[in-house]
Amino acid sequence: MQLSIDTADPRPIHVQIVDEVRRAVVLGTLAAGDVLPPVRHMAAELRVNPASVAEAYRALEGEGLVAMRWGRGPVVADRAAEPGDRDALVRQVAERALRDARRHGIGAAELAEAIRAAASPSPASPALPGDAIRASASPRVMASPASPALLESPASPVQPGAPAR
Amino acid sequence: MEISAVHRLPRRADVAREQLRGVGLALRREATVAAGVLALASILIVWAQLRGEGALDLAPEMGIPIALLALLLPMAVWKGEGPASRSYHHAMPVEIGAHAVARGLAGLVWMLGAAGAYFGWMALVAAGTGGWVDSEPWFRWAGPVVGAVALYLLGTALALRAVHPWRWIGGAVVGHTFLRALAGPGGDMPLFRAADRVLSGRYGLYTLLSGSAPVHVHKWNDLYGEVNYATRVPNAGVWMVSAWLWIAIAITLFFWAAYRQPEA
Amino acid sequence: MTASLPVRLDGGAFAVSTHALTKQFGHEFSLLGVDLQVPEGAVYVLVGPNGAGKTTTMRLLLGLLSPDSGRAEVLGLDPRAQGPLVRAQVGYVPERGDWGYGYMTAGRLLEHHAAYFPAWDWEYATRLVHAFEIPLQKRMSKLSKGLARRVHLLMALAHRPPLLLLDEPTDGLDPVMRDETLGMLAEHVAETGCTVFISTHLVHEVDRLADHLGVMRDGRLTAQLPREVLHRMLRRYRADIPAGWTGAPALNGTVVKRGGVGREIQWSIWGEEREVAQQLAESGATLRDAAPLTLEDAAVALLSRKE
Repeated sequence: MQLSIDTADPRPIHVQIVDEVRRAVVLGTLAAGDVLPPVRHMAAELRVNPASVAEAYRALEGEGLVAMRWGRGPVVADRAAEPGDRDALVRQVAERALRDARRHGIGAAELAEAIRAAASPSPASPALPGDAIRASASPRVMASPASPALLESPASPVQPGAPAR
Repeated sequence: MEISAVHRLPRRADVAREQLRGVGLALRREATVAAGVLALASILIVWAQLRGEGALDLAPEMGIPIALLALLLPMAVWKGEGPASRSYHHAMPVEIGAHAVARGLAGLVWMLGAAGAYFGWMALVAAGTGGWVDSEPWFRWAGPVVGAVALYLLGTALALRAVHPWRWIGGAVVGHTFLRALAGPGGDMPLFRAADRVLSGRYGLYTLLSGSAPVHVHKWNDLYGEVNYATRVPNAGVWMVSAWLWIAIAITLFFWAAYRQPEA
Repeated sequence: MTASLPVRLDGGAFAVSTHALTKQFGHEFSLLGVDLQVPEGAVYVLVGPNGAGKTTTMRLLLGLLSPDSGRAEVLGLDPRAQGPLVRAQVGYVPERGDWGYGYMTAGRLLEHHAAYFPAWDWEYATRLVHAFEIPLQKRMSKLSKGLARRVHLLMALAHRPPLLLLDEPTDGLDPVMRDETLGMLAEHVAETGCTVFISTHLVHEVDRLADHLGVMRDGRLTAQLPREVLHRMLRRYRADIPAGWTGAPALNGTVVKRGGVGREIQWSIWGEEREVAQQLAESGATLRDAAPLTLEDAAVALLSRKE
């Protein structure tokens, strides 16, 4: 089971594992009754210290997301993804965005406004992934010189800060 | 902290067995070369016999080359494992000195086996060509074997301590030749006399290997001036002393080298 | 605020502990007063430049060298007095180097090794042979460096020792094999609960596995701490500084690494985030970010720190 673990992320690894599992449950990719790999297999797949996996599983059990089983991997609990789970997920994304914003000297209100603008794409604003399906229906948007993101050639230099590994 | 009982030391018999098999594997190439040489010699002997050459006798002197090779055998036993590259051997759960002794003795076993095979082959050749066995005293036959053991142990001491053992051997040969040339025909230089005594003195290497001690040292005039000349006669007593001396020194140096390997 | 980086670990049960371990070669000190502490069950990563003394440390722990002063304790034993017994409990992968046995096939070498370690598990070894794709009938001298390395790793793992001493375990391996080796190691740790002591330059790869870090420089252990402490206490602070900024004197001694672009400083600072942030604010800088470092960045910062 491949989870997305990033060592450059401020969150400790066991927190990342918990967040990833929560995300999967909220999005529905993990349903009630699905089984997570036992600690040693999860540790092996992620190349992670087994203690981190064990701690993550304990935390997930504490939140009621999974139920531990002796000798086998934990099973996703038989409860629909509660609103609390989704709230936690949204809050995480928001905190990440705020952190990023603060690094760029952008305040919370400014960020909220920009988010609203970005959420409704117009010919003047660069397309976001996910909007590509909508944009392809109007070829005029594709060719618009006001969409710099689309004009970037694949050979453009990597932005500083982008993960190189 | 508790030590688990499962992770115990290996049995000595297992270590000995593994070293024996390991050294046997290591010497496979040398054994093939030796077998090839003997095969070639056999063919030449057969060919000579077919041409009507005479019988070949079995004499103890034929064992002397084996003894000299025994000095070089340890280089093959320890090949690739100079003092700085013995990590694997040292990292085993065996006392480092004892482990080197085990490997050394394993090589000795193979060497004695090879010596036995060589003598066996010579006996076959003698029998096959209708030669006869020199009726020599027992210690003349023992000489090459005991000499081989002593030289093997000395060679092992060298291989264990020296980074370039071949240089030491080459250096000794060159040094001896150089000293001999310096000393001149009379052989009167003290340093040369001492070196020569080790080799051809009363209890020297040649005595050990051939069982023949030098007697009747007399002077001789020839083209170059005065020369010391000695006839050699088999002498059990002298040989026994020489044998004990060489074996004692060889064993001492062997254990010293094994237990005093340079720290890597 | 003083920043003395922690050099001692709290807690009791140590798989490895040394006390003022010192070793000299000629006139040079390879190790000077090293107090190493590796907790039971930990994955401890030792970083340091070449010649810092990491390999010497391992050899001392195995009883292959004798210290000039100080002592070591490995799994409760003294390596000097009971070297063979210590080595029986340890899976050791030495630094890449030729050590003979080229004439043996890989399979034969495994049998040879198994004879020395009665705890050898042939079932596990066979599994590892398949996982590492080792051609058993090929001679060791004919194997590529990467394959030979994998054989060495296998030999260390297969008898499930309570302690693994790994000196550059992934050196010489291609990226795919390095990745798989780390996975194998993670699974091995989970299954056996053994203690792992790794010396490596490839810090990035062991970032997820490591839970303790030791920094060695010129024979001294300049820092030794759990990963979570490092994560909490060493952060990279990005702050805008005003014109004519005279620095933050209160932070002197705690700044591990200085950097920055134009009027933004990027300093790696040791300390509680709240206090550091306060000090920066009081000095007139505007804090933008305080991010923990990856293990590699932390190691680089700690290693290049000027005393």
